[in-house]
Amino acid sequence: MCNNLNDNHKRMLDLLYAMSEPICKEKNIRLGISFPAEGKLNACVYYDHSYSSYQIQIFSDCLHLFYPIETMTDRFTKDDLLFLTRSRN
Amino acid sequence: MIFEHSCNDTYREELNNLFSSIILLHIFFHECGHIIAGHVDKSQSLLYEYDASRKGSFAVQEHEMVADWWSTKQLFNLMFHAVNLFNEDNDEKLRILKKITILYWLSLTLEFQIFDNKHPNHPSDLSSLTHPIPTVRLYYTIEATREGISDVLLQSGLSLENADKGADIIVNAVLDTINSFLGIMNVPIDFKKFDRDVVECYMKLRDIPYEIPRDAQYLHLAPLPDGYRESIEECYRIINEQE
Repeated sequence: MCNNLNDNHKRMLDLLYAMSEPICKEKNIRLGISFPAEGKLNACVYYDHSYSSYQIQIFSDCLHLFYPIETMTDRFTKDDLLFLTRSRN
Repeated sequence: MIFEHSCNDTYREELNNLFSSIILLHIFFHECGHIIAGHVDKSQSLLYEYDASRKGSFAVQEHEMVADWWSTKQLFNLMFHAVNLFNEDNDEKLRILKKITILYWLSLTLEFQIFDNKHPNHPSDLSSLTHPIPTVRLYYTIEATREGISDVLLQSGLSLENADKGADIIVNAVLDTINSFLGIMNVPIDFKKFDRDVVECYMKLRDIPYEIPRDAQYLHLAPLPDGYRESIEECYRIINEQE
């Protein structure tokens, strides 16, 4: 399975590993995460016996949702963004 | 934010980045939820989230609900602590909780809509679906978010009773804001018009594990609290009277 990771994808993977680390420790689970380059809006999970770990694959279309999001939020204004991202208002 | 971010981003790019980040995190933690709940059979091959050959049922949809629920609680906690790391001001904490609730709920509205459009499979018989329809997912996300807020308030030192009350107050306070945002989003969902079928479907999914003993090896949500159905009936009675 081709992963074809760029620096941004590697940074995302690092973040996902860091965010899931506490729960993996708590539940005693080994986890592998990958972003297959295959263009599908899908994700899958399985147990990899060769590594004795669960594997989560998030397919590349899940990393490119900007266009569909844009079509649904094109009426948002800058004030809406500020409202959602700044706590002091 | 997860996606590449530059100081020259327009507000629209920043907004996209924000929603995309939360959606990606939800997709990831949803899959983690399947692992934690015991849905991934070690002898089984890959479990694709959307698989046209997968046979749907209410029991399968209940698995998706549990994975969504678990993801929501994890993410809510992570987002709150990421934003609130060094903050001691209680009013500020409340504002942050409200903003996260709004942002999270809008992000999931987008996610469910995008995936539902991409993987449409809406027979008249909802029991044959693998995932609950988006409105049902959004409905129970409110309940899961309420639990997530309550957990955060418990960690802040409130009693269980006060944490639950606080969560109710926060959720009720943001419903109008969420509905206003839905009004300008191009999604066919009206938060205030969750029809009775949606609530009935949610209650059915909550009941399913207690009707199917063979599913006892999986993690399930607790049974619906006593009086839940009665309070729903009361809500509908009041709504009908107002109409």
